[in-house]
Amino acid sequence: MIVTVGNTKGGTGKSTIAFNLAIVRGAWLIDGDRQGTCRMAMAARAGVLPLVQCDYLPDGKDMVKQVQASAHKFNDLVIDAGGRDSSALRAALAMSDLVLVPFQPRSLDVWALMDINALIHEARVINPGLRAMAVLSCADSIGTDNKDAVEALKDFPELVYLDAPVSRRKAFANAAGNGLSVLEATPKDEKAMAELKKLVTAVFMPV
Amino acid sequence: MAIKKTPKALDAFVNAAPDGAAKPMATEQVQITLKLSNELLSSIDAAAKSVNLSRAGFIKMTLSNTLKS
Repeated sequence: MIVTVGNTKGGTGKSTIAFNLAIVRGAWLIDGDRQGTCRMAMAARAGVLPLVQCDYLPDGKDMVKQVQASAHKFNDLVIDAGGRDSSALRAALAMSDLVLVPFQPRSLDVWALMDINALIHEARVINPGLRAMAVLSCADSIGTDNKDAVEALKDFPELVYLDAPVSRRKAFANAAGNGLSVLEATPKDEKAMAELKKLVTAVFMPV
Repeated sequence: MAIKKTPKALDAFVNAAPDGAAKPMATEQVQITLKLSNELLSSIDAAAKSVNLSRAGFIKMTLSNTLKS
């Protein structure tokens, strides 16, 4: 299964989610973001098992070539792409089974969904099977903003809400900084672990 | 994991990104023949070497700068 974690807006938690999904699934991780955040996090993982292959492919054409040549070697492929409209994000959308769009429960994040919604619409012309799901990232622990953001998602018809929010937790950042998923990091954050497990199940093993 | 698109459609979609457009072709270049004195050529070579340029690169840069100014 090819899963893109992508959004045209930056700072939505794409890399953190892609990094965690790839480790938990033992997937091939492609860092298609020029910032190279996943690549850096994976470098911090040096020597930790299981080994996770991570390739930095911010150019869309290169990504297409590499995926066409090597995707058959892996059960799953997770692509981190976006932060803007880029050739890498477009290549990823054109090749993926599912695009997971993280968005924060903030007005600017919700408004920015218009761009990725339009790009997904365009991508479906050449990849009609592309499924698109939006997931709350850096979700609040209290208040009504999560609910309001999900409600606002109805304005974007290409996106289906995936009820597996990832909350704003230091555990995710601390783990990634050590090259680990939150399932591997210590001390354990049970709430973060539960959120990641729910997300992995929702993405890769939907009921 | 199947890749289902036609290559041409995929290329067009990918290239439509701001960073995906085909790079412009280099300006066509024309070869000329120019006779220079040995002294001038030696001076050009020495000056080119001092700025780590080839003879041709130095001549192009110098002409280009002169014309701009």
